[in-house]
Amino acid sequence: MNFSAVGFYLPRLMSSTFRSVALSLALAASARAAVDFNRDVRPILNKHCTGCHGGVKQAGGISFVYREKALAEGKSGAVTIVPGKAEESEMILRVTSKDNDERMPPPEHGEGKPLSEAEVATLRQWIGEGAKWGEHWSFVKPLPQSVPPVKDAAWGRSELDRFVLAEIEGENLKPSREADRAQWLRRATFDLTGLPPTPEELATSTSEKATPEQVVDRLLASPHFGERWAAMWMDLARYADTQGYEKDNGREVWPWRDWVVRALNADMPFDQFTVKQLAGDLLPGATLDDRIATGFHRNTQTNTEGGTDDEEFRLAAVVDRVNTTWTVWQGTTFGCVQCHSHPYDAFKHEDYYRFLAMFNSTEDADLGDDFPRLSVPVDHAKSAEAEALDREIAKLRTQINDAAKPLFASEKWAPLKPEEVTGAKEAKFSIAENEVRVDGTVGNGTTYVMKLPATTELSALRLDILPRGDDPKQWPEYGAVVGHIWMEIEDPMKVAAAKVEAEKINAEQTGLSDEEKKKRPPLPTGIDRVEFVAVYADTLTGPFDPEESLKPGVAGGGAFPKLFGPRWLVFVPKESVKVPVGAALRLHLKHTVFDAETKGSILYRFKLATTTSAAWTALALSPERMDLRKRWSEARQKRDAIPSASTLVMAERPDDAKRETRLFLRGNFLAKDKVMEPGTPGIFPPLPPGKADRLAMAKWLVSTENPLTARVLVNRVWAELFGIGIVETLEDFGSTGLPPSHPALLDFLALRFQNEQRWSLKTLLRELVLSSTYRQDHRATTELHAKDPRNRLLTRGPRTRLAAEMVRDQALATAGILTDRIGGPSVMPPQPEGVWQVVYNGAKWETPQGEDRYRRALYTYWRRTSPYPSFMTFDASSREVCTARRVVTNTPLQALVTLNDPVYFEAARALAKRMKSAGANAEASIAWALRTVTSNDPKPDQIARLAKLHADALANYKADLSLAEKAAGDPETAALTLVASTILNLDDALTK
Amino acid sequence: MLLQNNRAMNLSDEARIAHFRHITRRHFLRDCTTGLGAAWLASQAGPVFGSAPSVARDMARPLAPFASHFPGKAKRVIFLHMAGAPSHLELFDYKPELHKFDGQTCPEKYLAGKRFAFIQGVPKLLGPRFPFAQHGNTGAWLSDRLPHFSKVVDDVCFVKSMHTDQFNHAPAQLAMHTGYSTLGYPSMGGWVTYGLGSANENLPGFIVLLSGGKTPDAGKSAWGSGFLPSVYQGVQCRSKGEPVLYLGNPDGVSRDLRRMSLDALNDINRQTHADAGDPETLTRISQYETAFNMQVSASEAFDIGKEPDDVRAAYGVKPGEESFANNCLLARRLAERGVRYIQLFHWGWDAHGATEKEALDGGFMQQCADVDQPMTALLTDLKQRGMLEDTLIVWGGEFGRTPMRENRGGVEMKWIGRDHNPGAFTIWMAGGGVKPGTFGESDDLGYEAVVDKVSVHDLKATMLHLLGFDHKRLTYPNQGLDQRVTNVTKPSKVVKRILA
Repeated sequence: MNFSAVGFYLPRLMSSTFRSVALSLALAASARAAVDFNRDVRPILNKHCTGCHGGVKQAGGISFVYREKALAEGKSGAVTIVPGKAEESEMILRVTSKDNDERMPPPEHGEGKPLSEAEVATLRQWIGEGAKWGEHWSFVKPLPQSVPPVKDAAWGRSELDRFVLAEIEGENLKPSREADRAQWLRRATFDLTGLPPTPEELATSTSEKATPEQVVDRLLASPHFGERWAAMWMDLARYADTQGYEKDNGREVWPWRDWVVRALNADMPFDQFTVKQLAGDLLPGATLDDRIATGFHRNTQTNTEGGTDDEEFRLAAVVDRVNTTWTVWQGTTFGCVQCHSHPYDAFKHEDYYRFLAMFNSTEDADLGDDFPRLSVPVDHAKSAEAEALDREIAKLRTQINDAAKPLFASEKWAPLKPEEVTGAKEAKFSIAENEVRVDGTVGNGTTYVMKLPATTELSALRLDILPRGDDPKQWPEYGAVVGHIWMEIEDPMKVAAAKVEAEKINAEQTGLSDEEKKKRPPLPTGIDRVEFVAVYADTLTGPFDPEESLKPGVAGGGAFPKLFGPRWLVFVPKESVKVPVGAALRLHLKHTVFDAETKGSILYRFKLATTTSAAWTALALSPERMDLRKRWSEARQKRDAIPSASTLVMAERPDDAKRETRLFLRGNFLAKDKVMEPGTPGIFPPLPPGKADRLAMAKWLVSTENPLTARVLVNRVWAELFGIGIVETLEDFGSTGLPPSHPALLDFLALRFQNEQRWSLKTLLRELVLSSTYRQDHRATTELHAKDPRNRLLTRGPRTRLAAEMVRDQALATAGILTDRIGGPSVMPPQPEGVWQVVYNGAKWETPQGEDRYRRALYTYWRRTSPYPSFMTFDASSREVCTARRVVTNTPLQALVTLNDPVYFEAARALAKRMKSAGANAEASIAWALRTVTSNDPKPDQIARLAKLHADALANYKADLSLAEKAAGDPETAALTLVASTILNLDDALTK
Repeated sequence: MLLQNNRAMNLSDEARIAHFRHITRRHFLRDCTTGLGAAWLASQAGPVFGSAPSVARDMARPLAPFASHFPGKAKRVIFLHMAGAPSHLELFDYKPELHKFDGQTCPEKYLAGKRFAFIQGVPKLLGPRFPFAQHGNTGAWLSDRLPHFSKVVDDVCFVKSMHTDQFNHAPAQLAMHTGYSTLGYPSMGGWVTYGLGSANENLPGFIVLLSGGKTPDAGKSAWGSGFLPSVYQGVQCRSKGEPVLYLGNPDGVSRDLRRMSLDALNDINRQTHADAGDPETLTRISQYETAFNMQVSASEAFDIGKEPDDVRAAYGVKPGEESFANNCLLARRLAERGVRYIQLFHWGWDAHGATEKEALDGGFMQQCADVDQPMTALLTDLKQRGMLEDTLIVWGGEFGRTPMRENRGGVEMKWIGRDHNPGAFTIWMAGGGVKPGTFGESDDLGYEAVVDKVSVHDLKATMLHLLGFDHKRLTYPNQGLDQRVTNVTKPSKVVKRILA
């Protein structure tokens, strides 16, 4: 009964560890079919060998992770494996040696036992058959699966059910009967919308009139569908409303969250959903929405603690993007490759940095304002206009700057050596032939004053900013920014004349107060300022515009926050400069910004050069330039006039400002090694031809050649519905993860999703929730629970605890107080005093009184260092990093939340009010509430038990009116409130 | 057939697989004893190896007591974290040499290749700001800022050769408590409760208490559960207001009414279990009962008003306030009640000299006064009750301070302070199997640890050893590695010479 033609899958008969072990023992003793590397050999190697001879530790120069290494000589000179010749292979000699010093694995390792005879026989046979290698199952593309034959052909609505039934029948078991409509409806409604069915939906959707297909189509069309599935995506994207780390300041990236909700509601195919989020900004003709989508990877943290190194945390974000991409799309633990080759899977250390190179040239740089951000029109109708303006603004600015590039390249620059440089008291300036160097302490606002030779003549001044060291491995250095630059000509004759003039003015205005003196025009000094009219830069990158160097108080040209290599700027005066006889020419260079929150962006090493070519003046004053600047400024004004919110986006640095990616030794960003070119890991298919950038990487992830993306996604969706994935370790499909319980089903679903379903999440979900497997009754005997406690065989329907978000949303929804509105800024529902207490941050938790108090959990403000406490108690993630799987716990603190958290008691009060109007007496009210909250038809003894509680509580409250007053008002409402709270805490209420 | 017969299964594989899967969910104990279940975990393409969580936890009772690798001398930990990093040069690490160079320009050799948080260019050296003297039979050096503490130094082990690789607060606090400078890793308290469980299931096993007016820089991540199940995160309790969030019944619900509602709840849930057969329902019933008990036991544990006057006076507590003194007394009460890991953070030690409050010649002196009496009282109190033997106290910041005076922005500041220094700092430990005395040395300026260096990872390895764990074997698989609190990428060792 082979359901798989694929070699690396076991025959059905062996779908358990027990059977595979038992069978290999049995087969070892007799003649057997060819050995399969993945099935038979890899487990032996992983169990006994790779601990020491793996990807990281390669004791004796031997590794069993890579075939070429396993077939090579070890340090001893002996060849480890000689294909076809088991007895010449050192491996066999060592595992069979009787000498304890020789024998592998060594007695002192692990259990210290030698390999079993069966294991040795397997290795012998494998080597004898040529030592054929095979990749781990999940790194090989899924192949089409034929639907297995089953005995009970009447069971099962879809092909996927056949795969499940074949397994069940293989164990001589039967699936459970179909769940009643109400049970299925509750499950499907939560799974598709994250909410319980309303009483009306319960009435109509369980009647004969509505088919399950119609119900599912209604749920898939609900705007709440996007909210429910976005909730899952938020954990993967580590979405939060704050930056993380110490100050953990707020940030606005909710427009991205809303984009996800919209995309899911529109059923955007998952391949597009992927490409837009990873590289929407690089798509040709990228729309505003495409750029908003890139917020996915801007959900990394920003560290604004005083004194942190921005490069360290920029890289931490880049590393997080790599790891998150691999966890989300590839279900692969790539993170460990950051420091060394993968211990068990064939990912090399270099692979990590090749992949990282594709993420390493974005504009974001751990800056406090989360640069770069995108303005998103509040009015969606203005998007097209905003989009066009953004494009125009970027194009014009580049055009203005790049006009100088040919001139710069052909110019013959004459070095300019200052005669003297002064500025910082505790700094030492050394002026060499061709450069100025500054050592010692330079304060953040320091102005360098450079006395230039009297012979100086210039129509343009070139400034080269140089790193202090010449070894690129030591770059980047702290940034270097020309905050403000100006030149002065000091003619002693003029100065003397001005002095006389100034004294005269002062004499005339003796009666002026200090205040009035400040207001009058400055007194003449006789010093002439040279007016610069243009600044050109090698490239336009970073948060500041080079032309701003011409204005005081604003940061301008240079490198910020880090200097990744030499940079140049050219400053063009309005007219050529020539020093009058006897006068002095001084260049002033003022520093105005600091990076790393505290470190001045100081020029520690630079050189100057000049030209007298008239072309520069002509260019700077050309009508073309004037016209471009006018259009640029008008476009910016128009864009600023569109009311907008802002959101974090990815933006790529220009091609001439790409960051070099080097291998980090042992993952240490200060220990850089060779330069790495972008690419994908060697055991995976290569990138599509063309530019190797983020866009290529995103397309590669969703190409039909990628073995993992579709498998990982369908598995994730399966886990959301069934409580456990086909591969339980959603985050790890590699050899350290768990193997699939139903490998053929996984591949069947993956290929179907990719091809027939064209990456449509709604189509996939429709098929799953309508399947017979999903529609089974979740009730089971204790015997079956004991046999298959986690329902791995799928002999019953799933019964799982509600996720943190659903617990809240259900309480508010059934109480009738949930706000229906989709999207918008995050909100702050009630939380206890004193939870929100943070260092160096004045932000406050301000609970609104209106409808924003009752929004869905998805919209709760998510502060990384102070996450919403009741969600955390129900296993939510703090969203520090990507969370692929929440481990579900069952703790007393959860009981305290749903019993006592004012949010839940407020919901109970509201539910009690609805109960009152829904039923003529306590029994009727209780029956209505039980049905509304648990979606079940209430049983008479349940109603009776709660009616007793109601009566007892009522007696208590009547005897103590002030207690009733505190609870809800009159004794009747108070008693109903207690009953409502009890119902919201039922096991049936907390599960689906 | 499969489900009944697993005897042929390789036992070590079975255990490993069972470990792996049960940590991801539950039922381990039951399955293990009946020998069922593991079968469906089923390895088709290769068994799971190398990556089993080292503690086979049943998520239905995630805090059940568990045996350590070997008997540990410490049964619980009280970690007094001085957030912001106190200056070792003004408290414990006496440097007469530094005194000599006070005010002189720092030689270039101390600056080359260094990254500082705030110091820019070439700063000046700064001598110790307070007089030092030797105390006790051990002759421990202390400055005059800790007069109470000077009387108990004979019970204390000073480690003067601490070092870390992080020079900013949040990353260094994370490194101190999770072993990693970035977010997403479990904290030490989480690892310890994961490994040992709690001795009192009616209280959280890992409790965090804050004082000093602010949370530590790393926020709740400093006591997060990282990739461990969230049940192992520290529970932040308060000395003011409800000690545990949502502990009290809502207004208008008396304890009697709560009992009534739980009785009804349990009755219906028992029916649900009879109907659906899900064992999780039974767990839920017992967790609601535990919650009911916790409402009393936690309130009682946090009521320092119950302490006699002389005890309260010894600590210097003021009930109703959020103070380090109150938290020290609470720490003792929680330790008595079996809480496994008690983590205090006291904020306000970041004496850069940027403001009067954050200056050695300003707020630093008040900080010293605020902690001196309570920490001394805690140590004395535990000793008198015979609890010091099996309670490990650790006191320290996340790094040390520079021997140079800070010159933020490249200018001389109005107040006197020191910048962050990851190269050397002092912590002290007491009880729980630690030998009193002084261990390790920093260089003549107190700039770098030089003799018997102890990293923040060594500290955690040593703490785990005292609790009965081999730190290399208390692991959990994540991102392809068997992760541990001592950071798999850094060397770490148990500091054997400070063990009693």
